[in-house]
Amino acid sequence: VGDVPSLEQIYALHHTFVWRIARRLGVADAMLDDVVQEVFVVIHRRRHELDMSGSIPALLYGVTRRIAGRARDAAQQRERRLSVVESVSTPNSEDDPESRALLEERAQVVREALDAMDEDKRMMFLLTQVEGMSIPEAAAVVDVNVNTAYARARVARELVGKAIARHRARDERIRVHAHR
Amino acid sequence: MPIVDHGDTDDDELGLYVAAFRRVEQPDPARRDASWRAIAQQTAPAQRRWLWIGAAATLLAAAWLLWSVDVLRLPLLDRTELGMRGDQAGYQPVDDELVEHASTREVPQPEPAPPAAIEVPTAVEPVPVVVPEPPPTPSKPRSKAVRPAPTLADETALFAEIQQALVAGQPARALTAIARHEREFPRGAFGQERVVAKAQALCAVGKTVAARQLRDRFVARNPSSHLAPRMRAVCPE
Repeated sequence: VGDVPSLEQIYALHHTFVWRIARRLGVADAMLDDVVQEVFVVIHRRRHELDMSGSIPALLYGVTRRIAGRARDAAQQRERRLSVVESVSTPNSEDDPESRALLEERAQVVREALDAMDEDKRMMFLLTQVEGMSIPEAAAVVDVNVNTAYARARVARELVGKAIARHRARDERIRVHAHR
Repeated sequence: MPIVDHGDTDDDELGLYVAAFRRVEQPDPARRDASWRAIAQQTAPAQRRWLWIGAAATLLAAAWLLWSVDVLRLPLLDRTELGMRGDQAGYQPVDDELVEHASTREVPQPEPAPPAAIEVPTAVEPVPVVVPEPPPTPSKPRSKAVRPAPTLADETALFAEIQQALVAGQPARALTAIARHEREFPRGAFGQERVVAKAQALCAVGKTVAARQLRDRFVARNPSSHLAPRMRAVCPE
């Protein structure tokens, strides 16, 4: 038991990870907290049976995917529209309004690009680019071979890259237009 | 990670956008704390609840034990009071299973014996009726009171058992656990994973035809599933 982190430690370290994954898996904001809570409760209840000495993010990812899937199905059954692009974020209040607006704008570009791609690529981008995992680590988390993970990560980066380029070009046009 | 081309955007620019996304996509600290309080509430009483369930189960088991001993003793006394022969009295205090057999097999086979013994079955007859009935009575409410409906956590645990058996090279054990999973969670969250595990286990025990049938059906129905590549690798021809 010595090396196994407590639930509180796991929560402190990985809450944001679970929250982001659940959100990008399409869990509506109204259900997000419930889903996140259920993930950690499941981890707590099964901690003696689960391999807690291995990768905790991998464990959390698997449980989150299943619980988020269930929540999403339940929401669909109730014919609620998912709002994966809604913003519940709380940008740092220390940012000045202009910087905050810029952050929001850039985040929105990435968000829209992620929502437009399939789940496999979206998760690979999230794990590698946002959560900072290496490709082999992310491959282990989503349980695919490393080559597949590389391919998904590359395509996802391309898609986000194209979205950024489009956004930049649009910005440029607006700027030129404003100068005239 | 290798440098890759992603549109007209360089790594630095992508980094800027991702950093913005990371910064903005943060859970609200207040909600985060509230979530933790809810989790702490849910997990702490759970331990106490299990203690209560364990204590209740122990009490029920003890009560049943005492009660069943009394039930078994009473017929013995009755029989000796009725003047039964020693060998017939010794025949009575058997476990439920044997009594069940006795009620179906032993009673219709009265030993051809002296005329006095022929009357004995009438004295014995109430015993199989009285003895086997009580045990199910206490066990039924006990199972209802103690066992809650299976949860996702239970399913996760059972599926972990399946995976452990597969990893440990025990496909027969995995198949037993899979059968249990099929029974208890016919529409469970691990439905697809179970099919993959079943195909792997069947292949491992040498039932390659069944394994391949499962594999082909799964791949045909779920070609874009994240499990499809793993399933395609099951039992190659």
